[in-house]
Amino acid sequence: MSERRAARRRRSPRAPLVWVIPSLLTAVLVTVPLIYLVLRASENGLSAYLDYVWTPITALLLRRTLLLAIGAVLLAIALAVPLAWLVVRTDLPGRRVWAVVAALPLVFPSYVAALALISFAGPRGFLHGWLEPLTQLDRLPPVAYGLSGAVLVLGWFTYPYVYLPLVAALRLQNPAYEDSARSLGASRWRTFWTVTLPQLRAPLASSSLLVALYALSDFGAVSIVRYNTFTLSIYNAYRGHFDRTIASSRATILVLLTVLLIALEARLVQRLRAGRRRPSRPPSRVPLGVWRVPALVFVTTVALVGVGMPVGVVGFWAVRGLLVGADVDAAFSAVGNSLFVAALAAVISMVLSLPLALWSVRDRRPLARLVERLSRTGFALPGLVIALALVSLASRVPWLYQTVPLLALAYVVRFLPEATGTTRAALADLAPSFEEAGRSLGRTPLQVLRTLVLPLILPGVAAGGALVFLTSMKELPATLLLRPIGFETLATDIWLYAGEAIYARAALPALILLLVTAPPVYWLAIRPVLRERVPAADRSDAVPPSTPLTRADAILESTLDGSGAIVGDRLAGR
Amino acid sequence: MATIDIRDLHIVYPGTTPGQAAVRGVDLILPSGQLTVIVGPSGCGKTSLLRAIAGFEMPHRGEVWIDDAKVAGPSHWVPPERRRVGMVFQDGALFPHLTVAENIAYGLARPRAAEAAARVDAMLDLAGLPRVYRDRYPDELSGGEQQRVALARALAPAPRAVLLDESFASLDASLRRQVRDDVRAILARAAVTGVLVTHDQEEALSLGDRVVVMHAGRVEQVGDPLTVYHRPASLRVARFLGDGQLLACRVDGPIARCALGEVSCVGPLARDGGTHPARTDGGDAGQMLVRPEDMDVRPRTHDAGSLGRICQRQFYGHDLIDEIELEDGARLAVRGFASACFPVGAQVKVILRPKMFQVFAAPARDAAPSVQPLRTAHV
Repeated sequence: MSERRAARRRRSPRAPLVWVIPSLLTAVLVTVPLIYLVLRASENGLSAYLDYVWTPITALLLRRTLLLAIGAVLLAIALAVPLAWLVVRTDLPGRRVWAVVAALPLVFPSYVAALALISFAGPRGFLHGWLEPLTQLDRLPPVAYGLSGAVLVLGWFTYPYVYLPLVAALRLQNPAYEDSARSLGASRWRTFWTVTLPQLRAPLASSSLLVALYALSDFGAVSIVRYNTFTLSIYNAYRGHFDRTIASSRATILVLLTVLLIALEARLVQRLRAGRRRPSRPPSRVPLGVWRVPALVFVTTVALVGVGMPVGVVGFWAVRGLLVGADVDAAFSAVGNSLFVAALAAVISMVLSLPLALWSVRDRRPLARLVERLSRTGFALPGLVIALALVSLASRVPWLYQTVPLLALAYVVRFLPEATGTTRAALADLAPSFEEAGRSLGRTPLQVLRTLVLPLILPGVAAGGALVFLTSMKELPATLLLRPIGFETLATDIWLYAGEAIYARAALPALILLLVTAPPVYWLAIRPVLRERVPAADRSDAVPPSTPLTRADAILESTLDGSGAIVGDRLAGR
Repeated sequence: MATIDIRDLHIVYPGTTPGQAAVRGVDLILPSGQLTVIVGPSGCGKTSLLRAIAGFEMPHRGEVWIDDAKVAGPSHWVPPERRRVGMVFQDGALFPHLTVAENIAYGLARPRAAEAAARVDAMLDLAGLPRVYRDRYPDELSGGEQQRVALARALAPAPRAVLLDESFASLDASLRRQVRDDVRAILARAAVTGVLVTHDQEEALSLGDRVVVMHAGRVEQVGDPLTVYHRPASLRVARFLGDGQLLACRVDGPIARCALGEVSCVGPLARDGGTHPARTDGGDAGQMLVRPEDMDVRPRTHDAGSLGRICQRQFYGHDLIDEIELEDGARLAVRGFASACFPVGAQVKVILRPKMFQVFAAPARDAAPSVQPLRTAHV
């Protein structure tokens, strides 16, 4: 034991400056928006700030925002726990297919999901058309709008953030615990509540907080279903009266909320983390018997709402749009713009993530840890807040204001943690003995970096770049505020037309966005979790450098850590 | 081949005080061409010592010399890549993106040259691996083969010494013995100075030309395997390297008297043989190390030894341990063989086989039991 503790303390004698200096610069770069925001909100002194913030409107916004977050979390848990249990631990027919289908709502950005919901279940939507012969109603009640609509969208399309970690955790759960409980006389039901579920506390708690964070920062869905939360009111304050002090002051409250959530998550996870051991065999499955009928009804309903509805609505309107002659050229120019900015952001993020990861993975001294934490600032900042800060900053720097590089910079600030996260995970996966073996074979640190470390972590770096690319493609609020005039992306096109209920014009870019982003979401976020299989038996004569199990663990770990909640976070662009 | 000389080495990890040092003043010479095994319980500092030789740990104090060159010392530091010391890690640490041949050639001056290919073949032969393995990837090899490739890779650049860090610990028991024997043969053929770190006393005794026993950051004893097993310098070493018991005895010159009879002895209490008159007080109180195989069982009618009853037996196949209760209630663990054993419950006599027994001073308090079991410090 103490041997291992000693091993963790060991480290190379000094931290090379070639990594330290770029890391410090990156940390400064990504914290600038936050610092500026605080300065901006406090420029007239504390009492002026309080005057802006301490108002009945703030209380109202707080209540609405928290209601939305709580509602979304409850809905997500209610969907995710049964789904995860059904696909991992029962003999549900077709469970492999259901396992993938249940994760698919991850593909839809919140503004696309919201667009689908109002077009489908709005007062005069598809549902109304189908029900009219039966109900004779002139219009349906407006459940698709306001709180109910926002909870529906944010709960039903973010539950995969809870579902995927639960699937991974259920798979890795040692069946010996349940077997012990059963052999001690506990029923299956009691075993589930007293043994199975308590072991899921850590992933459940942290992923629920992730959903809450998501709901707090969402702009796309709440703006389309017209539920006024902090983000929407900040946007309106900025757009409506160009009153940046009100906007900045409200933004500070929002940031306070997100920081609180992240701190809470870090604490909870630390407290709940149980020692996980590699299970020797896969968990046993519960035969459903006659319960398979209600189980199938449940998973089908979830899939119809979470996948069928958005695909159907977007597909229908896209075809309709094409038939009546949609502006295909505009859509293509939007595709080009989206791809270009996203790629730019991805490349910058990959480059910046390397020195950060190389320094902070091996060096556990306070400075390295601080810089690594600072580099994750973007994780706590809603996209709208970053955009607001950058807009105000750039308005003093005319040559940067409303330019493509500034937009890419906003993406980098927001999504750099994703790139650093996967690069760090790849590096951490690399046993220090690899590098030491290289050194003892006569190679200098730089040669070791070039011939061993870089080739081995390249997949991780590339995955990080792909994540940044993907999330940037879908990013909405920062794009809305920072894009150059006349520079439309897929996300802004969808949002602008959806806001005016011109579904036929919103659907084509939405369809393209889905086609471009769905495969990478599947490959980067869904497949790695679902594909992991627990090895049938331990092959103790082989020493594989990185087993699939440890990779599943790493994904789970990174979700638990909140060290970015890297894989899942913001895939759907709030 | 090279001699490694370690002088007053101290290693302190960051965030700990010098009082918690991992290595506290080790002086050690590892002779050229020999395989030295450093053994000790977890956390005794053996791995830190090895890593200091390799250049992965900077000593807090003290020096490391390889032949006539100082590689670590006050304001003196040679980085690992310039030490020409090969290392074989516990997990092998084969580079997963390189083939076996590329792994072995990695440390050569020009890995792509024709000489390199010849060297790779020579190393594969040395390691007893077929040459068709050249183009395989590490994950296509078994654990034992991976360790052999790791050793071949470490030997390829003709290092001055090879360090093995618990290199067999991740293999299962049957494979471990096989790979261990192979590695010893390979090292002998390569005629290279070797240092192996392990916590497994059987490995240490069977493999080492010399054994270094460490405890709490210090060297407890250095010697050949027979010496450290039979003549441990301290009770701690005795306990770590094997089972047995301590028998209370009286030491008079070269003679020790215990419940089982009179034997020759060595150790701090024993004096030279010769013509000392027998002491009237019966001699100094001592404790005598008796391993299970130092005793034998005879029929109860045998005229020497002490009477006892076999009350329990652990059977291991190749041999067995009988627990024998003497008439005064003390219990002894005696190794025997299935081919010649008495039934459990039988009355027998226990005798000591003739040899030089190691005696230690009895603990200061007088209440030392007549027989004190010595259990291996399990790690």
